[in-house]
Amino acid sequence: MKVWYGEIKDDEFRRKFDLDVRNERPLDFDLVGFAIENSVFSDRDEYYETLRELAIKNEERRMKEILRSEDMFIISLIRAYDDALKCVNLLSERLYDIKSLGYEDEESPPVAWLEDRIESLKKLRKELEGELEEKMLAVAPNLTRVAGHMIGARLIERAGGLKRLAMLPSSKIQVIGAERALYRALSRGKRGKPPKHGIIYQHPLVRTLGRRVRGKMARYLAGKISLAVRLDYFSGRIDDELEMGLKKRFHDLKGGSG
Amino acid sequence: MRVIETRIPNVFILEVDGRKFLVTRSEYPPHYGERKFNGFKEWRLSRSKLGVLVERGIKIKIERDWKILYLGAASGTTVSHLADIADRGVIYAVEYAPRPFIGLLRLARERKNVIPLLRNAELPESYNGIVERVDLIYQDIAQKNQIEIFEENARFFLRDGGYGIIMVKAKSMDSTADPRKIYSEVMERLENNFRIINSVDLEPYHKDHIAIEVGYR
Ligand SMILES: C[S@@+](CC[C@H](N)C(=O)[O-])C[C@H]1O[C@@H](n2cnc3c(N)ncnc32)[C@H](O)[C@@H]1O
Repeated sequence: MKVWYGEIKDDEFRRKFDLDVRNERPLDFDLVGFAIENSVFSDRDEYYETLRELAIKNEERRMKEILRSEDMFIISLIRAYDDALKCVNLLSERLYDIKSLGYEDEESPPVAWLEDRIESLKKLRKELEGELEEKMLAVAPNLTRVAGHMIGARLIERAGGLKRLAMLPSSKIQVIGAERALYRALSRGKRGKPPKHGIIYQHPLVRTLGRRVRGKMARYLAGKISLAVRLDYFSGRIDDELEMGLKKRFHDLKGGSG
Repeated sequence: MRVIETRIPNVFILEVDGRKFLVTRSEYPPHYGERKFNGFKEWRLSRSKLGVLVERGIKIKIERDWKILYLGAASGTTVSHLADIADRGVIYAVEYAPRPFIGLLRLARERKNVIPLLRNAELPESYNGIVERVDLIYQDIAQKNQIEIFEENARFFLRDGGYGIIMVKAKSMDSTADPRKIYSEVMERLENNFRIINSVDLEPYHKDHIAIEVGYR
């Protein structure tokens, strides 16, 4: 039998600290008393202090492992979503070609096959999006509230994980997804205009504004996203105010732009 | 400022400028944005179901030296007050979601009597060998099979004559059925292994929630 401070085998006790235990039946002895009788600890205070310190270290390590794998899962999901979208587009184009040659599904089975698979790929996309939304709310609830689950997931994907996104300044967040445009602007020297169309420009509160104030809103949104991601990564606390500020700013800018 | 004792150790009612606050005696900094009054911390009823139970003056019992198993600790809001109460005891705080666990770790670093466990309460065997027999199991996990989970944890960890507090959220048991019907089914099931001591509606602070207190055998 393995307990956190050692192993008991054939009435023999070997001391070894390890919190990865698994015992299918309730223990029939006093866990704390046994440790002290066997001089693993001199008293109860030492017992609990050791256990607490080990638990903090061990569970924190496990927590980080889980969190790491969760944002990688999100990245795979958003990529799978985009793959499904690409497939739908490619197959739809082909279907259009075939149909414009005059074939209909009564006379050509491939037309029906294609239509059928396109439908099911569209369904797949919906399912992936549902899963993505759920995962995003669990892994990055503040980011999801501020940016939405799709844009949020794309930002995580481009940054290469939640931690990396949390480390970026908001000026960088604003241009994520516009890297190619940025490169073009730089290579054109001083006369190149800075890029404006990062991923966050797809956000409804940016997209629907007049062109003159769109940049302002994007800068503001990038700032909020940066705060949200840091909260998600470092604390996990949910802050409802982030979202409210966003709407107010939107209405102010909307009024100003006429 | 007037300090009124309650029936639970380290829990008081504070009168400040004509307003009353439920508080625990605590030297520690605030954990979830609660107010601090020198030597005491506000116990926010809207954030903690146990707080409501205590405030209603229900005859619940918690002692300073108790060993407690807490299932569904989240970020440690309620645990922070329990840790003030059981200041000479130990709280094994189980939570399986990694996000809220960040807050729980922060609490455990501060408090000598909180042992944080990132485990699934459905698998007590995965912490059997860490958690000892306890005086109280407190459960707030809002799951459909939570009674089964409670029974299993009691079998593994609750001492004979031990005590249980179970928070039941009707919506997570069955989102359409009448809450009263759900509660009575839950009680009936609990009576197989426990003695029901009391059940308390947590309205208006926590809608469609009740707390059930049970004794073991
Ligand atoms: C309503 S919250 C608890 C709030 C907390 N008791 C407080 O008052 O501060 C429910 C928590 O139970 C956790 N939970 C649900 N099922 C669980 C399980 N099987 N094992 C461990 N934790 C679980 C959830 O992740 C969530 O954090």
